Amino acid sequence: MKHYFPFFCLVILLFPACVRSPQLEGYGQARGFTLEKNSEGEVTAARILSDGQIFEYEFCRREEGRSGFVDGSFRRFRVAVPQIRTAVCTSTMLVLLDEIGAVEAVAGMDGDYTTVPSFRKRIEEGKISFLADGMVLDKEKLAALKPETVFFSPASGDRSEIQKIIDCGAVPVPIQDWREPDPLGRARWAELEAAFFGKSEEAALLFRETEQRYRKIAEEVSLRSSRPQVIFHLPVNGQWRMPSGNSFTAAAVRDGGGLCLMPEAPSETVLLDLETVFSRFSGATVWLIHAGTYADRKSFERAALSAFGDSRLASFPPLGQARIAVNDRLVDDRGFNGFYDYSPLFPDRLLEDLAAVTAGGEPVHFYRVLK
Amino acid sequence: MKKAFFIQTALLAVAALIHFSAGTATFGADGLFSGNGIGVLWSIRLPRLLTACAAGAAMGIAGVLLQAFFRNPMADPFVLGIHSGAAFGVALVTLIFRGLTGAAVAAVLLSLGSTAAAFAGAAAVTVFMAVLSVRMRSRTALLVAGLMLGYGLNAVISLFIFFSSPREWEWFLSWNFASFSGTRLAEAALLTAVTAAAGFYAVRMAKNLNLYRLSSDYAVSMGVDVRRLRFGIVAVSSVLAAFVTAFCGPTAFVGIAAPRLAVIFFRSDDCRYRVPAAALSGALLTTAADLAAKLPGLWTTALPLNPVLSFFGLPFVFAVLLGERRELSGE
Repeated sequence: MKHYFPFFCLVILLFPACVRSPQLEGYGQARGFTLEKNSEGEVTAARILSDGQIFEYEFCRREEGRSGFVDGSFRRFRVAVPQIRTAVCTSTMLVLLDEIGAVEAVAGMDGDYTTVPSFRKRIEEGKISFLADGMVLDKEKLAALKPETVFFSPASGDRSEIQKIIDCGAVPVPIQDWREPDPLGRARWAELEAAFFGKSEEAALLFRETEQRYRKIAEEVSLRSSRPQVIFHLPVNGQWRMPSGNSFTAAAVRDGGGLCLMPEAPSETVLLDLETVFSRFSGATVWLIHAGTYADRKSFERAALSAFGDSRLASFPPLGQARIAVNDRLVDDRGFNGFYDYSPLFPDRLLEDLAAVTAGGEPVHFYRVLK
Repeated sequence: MKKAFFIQTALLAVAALIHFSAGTATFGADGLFSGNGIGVLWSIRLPRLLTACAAGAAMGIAGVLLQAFFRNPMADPFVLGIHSGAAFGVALVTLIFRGLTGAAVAAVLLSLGSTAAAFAGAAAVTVFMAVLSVRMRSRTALLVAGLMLGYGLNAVISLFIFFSSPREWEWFLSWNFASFSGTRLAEAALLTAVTAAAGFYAVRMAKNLNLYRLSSDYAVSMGVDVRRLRFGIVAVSSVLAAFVTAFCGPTAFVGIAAPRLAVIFFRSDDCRYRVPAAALSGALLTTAADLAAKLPGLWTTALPLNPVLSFFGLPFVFAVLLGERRELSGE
């Protein structure tokens, strides 16, 4: 037996490399889904790629059928359009539903975190049920609500949430827009999401306007003669986590006039040690902070040098010289940050802010430059 | 024996040299004593290397002591709940007190930071386990008490995570990955000094520990103060684990792997040799693992320390298991 042990280990290690995960051709800038439309421009089918599995959806008019499984398959579903009772467990989608006027269709959410005013009003009126305990969907609450569809953002490799939704007779719709490396690709998911509510035309129009503004700003920014180097966040225990060079955030910063020197990696973030940051990023003149709120520059510097930061940052030039921008402009009274609700759907606003920060101006949508 | 010490010391020296030389910052010989070079070497690379060596040695010593005490090759500081105590302290401060921005107590605790919180948590468990070690006669009961305490504290940490926001537990998870690069030179020197003192004390205990391993009655008959010895073992291993966890986060597998590596290299069961041998093996293991975690960062992303340590430690755990099987089957 022990003679086979190394061979067994080798097979276990090589097996994942030999398995090819399915691919989709994508839709516009988005890589994670496809849409099929009929001659009248109505969406008739959609396919979503989620963690190596493809979920297929056939759309029919509400009067023609009910939402459910096709051929008893847990990967093919029929969806009655428009959806009138759904659960949405992904914050970015709530902004879209507010924009296209489909707020009434939402009966459930995973938690009370949204900053979108129309949904806050519905929550206060008791019209929204909360379906999750912490991060995990509660099967009993889901069964009691009986939504037709559940839009959710599955963590990588987590199949249990899908199974729970299927067990409760609802159609699972995995939304992994955050996997898109292109800011416009992420915004494009709006068309897919809106198709479930019969509003893909409205979403397409919204996207076209967003895209035009985004491209216009990016074009203006591309004419600039210099690009300031950008760094992100603060270290934890001597390790510095930043967005990887091929991430959504890095792409937005590059389009917004910044220079991102973070290396590319298969993951959305890279782990850099202090030495790497000190040697590669000491010339950074823009510092973006996506965690916590700081009243002013002094309080940020205190936090950076405190026991929760790293006192060695005192010799890091950007601490005294860089423009520090925090994405806390939309933080509400309860501490929830609208940046995460709005910026994926409106990358043009994100770009406008980044273009302002990198040019020494004042951002107006999400960021605040610390004085 | 001497040959084994020489080989392992040489391996450690090579690993340490590569560890100290490798990094993203580049500077010539003239830069070594000025500006950027001296800053990188003194404030970043040297503390990291010292911490890696000292933490590995500390966990190796703690592992030998606890394995001898419990007569179980799988015993390490995890079984006494020390890591869980440290993690509880950090979780309490980062996940709970950080949210209470107005509270004066929270402000004081936050100003002390994660290291102080980890040390407070680990020290509390240390005191508790040291008291238990005096009161409980059965080693198995003490082992079970330590494991249960660890499970209990981990359960509370899970609840903290459950009720905290993703931003807060992201910080905690980053700490939980462990790292040798978060220490300043003074902290690394303190950890080294504590490890050296504990190592010296452990070597002094080693003779009595050899007797105790045969049987506690035999040790008593040979004039060993068993209660004092038990207290000493638990206190020293707990203090070592508390310091390492406070400065580096919970480091996996080293406490089990280092004593095993020492046995493979030195082929001696005598605690007088096993203590320094395990310290050397632990230092070699952590320095090599930290190097493996650090090197990919030169081109792309560095790796979190704990998974790398686990990859390094796993072969030794299998060696323990397969070795036991061979002994049982008489091969």
